[in-house]
Amino acid sequence: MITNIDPMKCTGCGLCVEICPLDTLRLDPFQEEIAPCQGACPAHVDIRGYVYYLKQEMLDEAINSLAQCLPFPAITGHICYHPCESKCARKEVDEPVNINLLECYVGDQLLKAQAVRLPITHAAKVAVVGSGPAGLSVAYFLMRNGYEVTVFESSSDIGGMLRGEVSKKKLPQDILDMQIHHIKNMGIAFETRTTFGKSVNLNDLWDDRYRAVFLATGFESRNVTPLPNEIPTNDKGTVVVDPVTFGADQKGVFAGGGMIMNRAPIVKVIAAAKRAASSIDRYLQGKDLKKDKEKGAKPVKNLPKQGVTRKTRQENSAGFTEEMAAKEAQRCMSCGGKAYIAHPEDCMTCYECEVNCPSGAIEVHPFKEQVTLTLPLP
Amino acid sequence: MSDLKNMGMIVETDVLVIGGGVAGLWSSIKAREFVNRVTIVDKGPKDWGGQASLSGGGMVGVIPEDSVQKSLEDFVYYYDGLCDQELMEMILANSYKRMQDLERLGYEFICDEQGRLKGVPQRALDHVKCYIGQPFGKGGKSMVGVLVKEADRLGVQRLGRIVVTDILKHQDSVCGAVGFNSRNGQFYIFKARAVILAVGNVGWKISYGHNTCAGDSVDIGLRAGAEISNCEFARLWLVPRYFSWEGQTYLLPLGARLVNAKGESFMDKYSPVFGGNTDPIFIARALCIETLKGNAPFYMDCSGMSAESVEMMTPKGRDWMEINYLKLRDMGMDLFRDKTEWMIHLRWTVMGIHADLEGRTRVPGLFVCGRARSTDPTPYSGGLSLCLCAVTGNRTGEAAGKFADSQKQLPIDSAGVKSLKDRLSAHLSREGITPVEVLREVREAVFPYYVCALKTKRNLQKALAKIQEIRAELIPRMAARDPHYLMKLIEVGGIALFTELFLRASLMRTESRAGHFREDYPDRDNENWLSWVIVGQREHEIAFRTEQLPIARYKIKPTRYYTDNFRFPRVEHLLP
Repeated sequence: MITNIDPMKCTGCGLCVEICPLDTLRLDPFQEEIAPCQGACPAHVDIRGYVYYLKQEMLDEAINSLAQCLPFPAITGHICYHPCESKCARKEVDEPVNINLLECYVGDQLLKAQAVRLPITHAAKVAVVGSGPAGLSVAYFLMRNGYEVTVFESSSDIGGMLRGEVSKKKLPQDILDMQIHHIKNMGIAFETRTTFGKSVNLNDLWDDRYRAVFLATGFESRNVTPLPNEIPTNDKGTVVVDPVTFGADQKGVFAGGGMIMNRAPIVKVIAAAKRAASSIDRYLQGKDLKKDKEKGAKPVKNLPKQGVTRKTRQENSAGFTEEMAAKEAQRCMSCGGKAYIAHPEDCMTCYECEVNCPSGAIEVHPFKEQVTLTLPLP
Repeated sequence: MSDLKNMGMIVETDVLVIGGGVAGLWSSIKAREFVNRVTIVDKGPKDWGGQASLSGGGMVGVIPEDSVQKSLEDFVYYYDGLCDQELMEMILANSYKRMQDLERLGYEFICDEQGRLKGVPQRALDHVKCYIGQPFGKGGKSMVGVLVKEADRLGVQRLGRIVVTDILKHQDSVCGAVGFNSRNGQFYIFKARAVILAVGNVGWKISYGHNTCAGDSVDIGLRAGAEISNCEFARLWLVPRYFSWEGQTYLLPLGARLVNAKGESFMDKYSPVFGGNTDPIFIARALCIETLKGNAPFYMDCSGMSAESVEMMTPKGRDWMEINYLKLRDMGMDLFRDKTEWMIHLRWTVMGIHADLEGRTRVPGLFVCGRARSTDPTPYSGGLSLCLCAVTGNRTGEAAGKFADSQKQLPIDSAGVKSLKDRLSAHLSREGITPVEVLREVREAVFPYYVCALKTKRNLQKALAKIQEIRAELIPRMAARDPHYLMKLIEVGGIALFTELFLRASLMRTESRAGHFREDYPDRDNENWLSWVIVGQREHEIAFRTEQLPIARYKIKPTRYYTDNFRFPRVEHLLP
């Protein structure tokens, strides 16, 4: 009978889970030490987590897991530069996992699924100005956190800079439209053709009982959109914010995206927006904005490598089919995940797991299960 | 059709093969010659390959210089006349072609210095030979490997971790199947023109190796309208009491002795002709009698083996056998040095779906091959399973492929699918008894030797009453907390069902023959019982019938009987 999987030795490669004929094993990908891919991702997307669900063909769970980390995976799947793949430990075995197409796949499936409207659990309302990637991201993370959020956009179209990606042919128009439609269905309100500083100003927002404002009108709008006098800017038109909290020198006002930094890859914009959303939440909850911020997670030290079977990386210019996605997900070694014995009573002492474990983490006791005997033996 | 889509994942195929072991693989490879879409589903990992993965890879075969007729005569004798001669002849006559197929695909059989295939005689039979695969003792994995590779080359779709629960029919004919994924619970609807059941043995889920076999063929087949035969023949296997060991068949001829508590090599008493070199089913009978005489426990005594033999049989090569051996030695248990406690255990039965030579059942579009079909009355010859899986798999693949090619996809009744899905979901959404506890009750009822090995009317009836109570009272109250346990629940339902068939068929056969011993009917009764017991289901009622063997049509008229080589005393008065 299988008796132990040593968590110190287990690298999370998942081979045992894949091969056990009696399905006795599972893997827990949600660990403190972060996988190299997650460490390389500016937005710290838990790739190991959602890909593990894909391995199990648990699509809904994969979608939920990714949606916790990323506001619009269908979009980022197309335009992210995926630094995650450059650090994938699979490089040492054969080729990195095609995380990019897996993200696209999950993103596409997300768009096909019914948008779930999450419950409002906070009393305070938040206004977001600008519907580009930064504004959408902050709105998204706050909405997931239970806030009522309204996004104000001066143009008639939502998406800001993302529209530019469409004209550059990097992002399909329909994906952008569907993703925005999906976000709307999740419960974020949009007020288009509403220019901040003209049709609506800061005091109007406070009067409307908004308790926090996030400014993200973008790089292009600097020096064009007049900001209210009470929000200090520097001579380049950049809003002056605290680099840790994203708070402007005005109570309740935060800023991000092109308002505070130069052009950056979308995933960095999302990463910053996530931190800003967290600050806004802390501000609204009356907590210190600087204390107890998330500490940097430790990276996985014991990476799988030796003894892992080589498998060809899946590629497809038209995106993954379900079968290809499952196959590619199987290539992920869930670095730092931990296998565990979920159904010990089903073990048949075949030793398949122990014989094949590349890191010698599994212990099978030679004695088989004790069941009813045929002969009454003493 | 749109409502079907909302119920689960739809897989459309021409031939659906249930079971990804060697029989399923052989049939899928052959079926691809006739249709484009062939799909294999397995409840285990998709690359597992079923029980063959744990086998030595040896295969019974009749090579051109040997005689099919003589091998067939051996089997008629070995099976005490209860032999489907046309089926066995077909299997033996095609065995060499399948061995050649395997060699072409890259599988290697062990040859002698002259490069000739090296056959190992089996169970003191004159002509039946087993051809051992490479590497020695682990050829099964390599056989699975070459078949998987060929199936993949032909574009056979293979899906793992899917438990098929029911065959779908349109009027009387097969139109698909339904099942679910044991990891994520996803419900699957398969549309198919033909379905092949290749789910392997029927058994009580006992380690080692037979733990994957439940009552799948009986459960699925009976409900679909197929018939089951050879239900009364169970398989008792000789095993170490505490651990697992493969290769005891090779230990005995090399000087190891199976002894009782007094140190006597007791098999010599019961069969001066064979001694211990016979099928475990007969040794099991002797062990029961020895137990009644107070001569338990029993040991494997390897002290008579030469140093060379011990060296040869000592597991090597970083596989499970070596790890197992080294761990046991570290624990102070050395099979070759000590006397090791050995016992018999009820493990599986040879019952299976009744089918013709092409694997057709009486349900149009439903086929069966390999161990899921009924072939023999227990006595086993090493390598027969891989041989019959190859031949019947190939033959059935052809028949099912041609059938599917000539058929249109029949419509699927979505209301019927919904009720099957709802029935499955109900198990998940309630509190109830865990399947493993019900399985224990089933085993408690049927495992004692005086029920399954030395049968009497009284004890069979008592056990049957228990099983019927379990089926009526416990089975409907089982619940599963997740899809993994739903798989176990389905299995336990099938096990309880086939256990009832085993007991009822055992009661019916009022004689002793091959693997069936009735202490109250100890003699062979050719006048009444050169017949098969066949079970079917009408509405929800199980119905038994008997069918005489067409001896007049058969080439060989039974005159010699293997069990005549044994002298077992009557012990009915000693039984509980």
